[in-house]
Amino acid sequence: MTVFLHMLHLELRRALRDANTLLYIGFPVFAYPFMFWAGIEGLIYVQQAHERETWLVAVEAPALVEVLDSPPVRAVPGTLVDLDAGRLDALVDVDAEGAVRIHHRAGSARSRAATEAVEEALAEHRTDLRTKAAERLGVPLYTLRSEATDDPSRQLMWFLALLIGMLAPATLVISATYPTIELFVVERDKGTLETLMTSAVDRVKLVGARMIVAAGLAWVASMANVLALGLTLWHGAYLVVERLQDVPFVLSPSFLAVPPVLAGGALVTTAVLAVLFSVARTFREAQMIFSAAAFVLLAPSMVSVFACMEDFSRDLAPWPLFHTSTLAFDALRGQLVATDLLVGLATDGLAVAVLLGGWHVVFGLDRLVTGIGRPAWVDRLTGET
Amino acid sequence: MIEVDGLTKVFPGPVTAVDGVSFRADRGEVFGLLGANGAGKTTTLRMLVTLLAPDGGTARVNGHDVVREPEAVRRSIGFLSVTTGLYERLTARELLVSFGQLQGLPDARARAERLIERFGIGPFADQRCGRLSTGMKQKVSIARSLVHDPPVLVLDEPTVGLDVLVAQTFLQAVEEARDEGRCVVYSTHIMSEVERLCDRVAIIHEGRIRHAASTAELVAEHGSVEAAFIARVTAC
Repeated sequence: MTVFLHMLHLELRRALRDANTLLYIGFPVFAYPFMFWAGIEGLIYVQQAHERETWLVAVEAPALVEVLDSPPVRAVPGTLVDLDAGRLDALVDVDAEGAVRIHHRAGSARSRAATEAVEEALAEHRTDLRTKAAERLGVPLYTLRSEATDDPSRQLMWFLALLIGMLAPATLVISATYPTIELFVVERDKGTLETLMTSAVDRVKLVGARMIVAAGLAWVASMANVLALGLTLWHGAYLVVERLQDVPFVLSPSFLAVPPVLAGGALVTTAVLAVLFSVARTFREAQMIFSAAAFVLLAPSMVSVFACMEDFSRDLAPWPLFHTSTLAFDALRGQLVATDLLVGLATDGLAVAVLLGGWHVVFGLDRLVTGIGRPAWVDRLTGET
Repeated sequence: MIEVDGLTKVFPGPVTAVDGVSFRADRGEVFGLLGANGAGKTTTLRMLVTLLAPDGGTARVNGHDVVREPEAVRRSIGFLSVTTGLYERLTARELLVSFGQLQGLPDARARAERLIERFGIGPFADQRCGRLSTGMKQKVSIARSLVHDPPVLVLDEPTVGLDVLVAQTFLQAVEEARDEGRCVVYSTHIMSEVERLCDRVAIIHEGRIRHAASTAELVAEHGSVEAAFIARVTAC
């Protein structure tokens, strides 16, 4: 046990003295607020720019010319040829069945903005017509409004939980990649590996210590991601959505389950990456492997988009990485079921044990550390021998 | 102390890198493994230190089989090669203490301090290894290989790339290790080092031991180790 702790200490010290590792962990703290700020500023700029614009629209329906010829729309003569050539922003006509069509260029932001302005003007006109018709007939005109019955603060949390849950596996994969490469691969083309492998360190302790440090750093980085993302979205929601400004922010105590859920996910992700990188001899080769495997590793994130929205939490509880999303989602929105959490953490542990234990039985842990004995096809693929 | 019998290694290709190598090295002796580049020296030594698994033959280090008792073998050896690296983000002192602790030494710090003093590492002991000069690094490397006081030292071309003064210090350390009763296996293609250090020599060529004798016998027979080496290798 003492040797294991010394091994852990050595690996942790090595990793934490690497500026890139610290950058990895600290990056999201600055990145998300900056991205949010830049996004909002960009939107405001575009909105203000559009407010100053006049949209040139050809109206081939005489009855609508008066309706549409008011700022920001200006009715001008023109044809579809002019629209294609960019001399018009939109063209309005009426088909044989009486439907008003707005022709526009989908690939032009300007044309899309003009279409929105036309739609807005026509919608207002249609409401006027209906109101007048209802008055003539002497019937009350009703309006339609859907209202959610659950607490607005729960609605807010549902939205935040959904976004964070969806992104959780992706943040784990991204966070685990660098420390796993750094701890398992980088020293394969340096002399430090033979120093280590010729010392009497038990291989299980060696791999265990590396796994814990790599997964631990991945966990810290993913927690930083989730925290920074959560705070940015929360602040952003209050800032952008006016109706949320009076809604209290209520965080369910079950959010405390998020750190263990991410810890389980970090262990599984690190184990999968360590096995994948067992055929890499250099940082570059590990990057190549990650590029190829990224789509597979990010699949849980994609699947969980639907799983979270459709409440498939229970169905995904036994599936490592996939349940990282749904458990985090449930924990944040305050609907976590304890058995789901326990099943999730147990299957994470089982997945790591099966993956690394199976590797040990079939190939031996030495190969996980040294990369020696990789298949010949990898040599051919990388051009190395 | 080291008994090698019919050791063989075949790499995919297939390429027979080591072909039935046998030799024996004893306590208090420097045994030289002499060969040109690609002769099989490094592969042989890597099998001895358990970095590579042999495909045939046996090897015992300090009574332990390299295949069946790799951990006991590792406890008995200190290994150093031309490519041996140091963790660049650790200081020399941290590195020595860490490796002592990993070897299970109860007094790793005290042992590290003794080695720091012995090899004159003190002035740069608290500098990170990545910032040390080649000579400083090699001093730290040999101290690291001795940190657990191993009875066997396996040195694979350890002076390649060192300047004369550092190499001298290094060779002196090897002599001291021998005088302390350690068994040293020393692989090199530098003949002057062989003549100075080695008690016995095996000439290896194309994966096979072509000749084994005491250094004195080789010099008596051919005038120098270099002449003996050339005569044996060209005769193959």
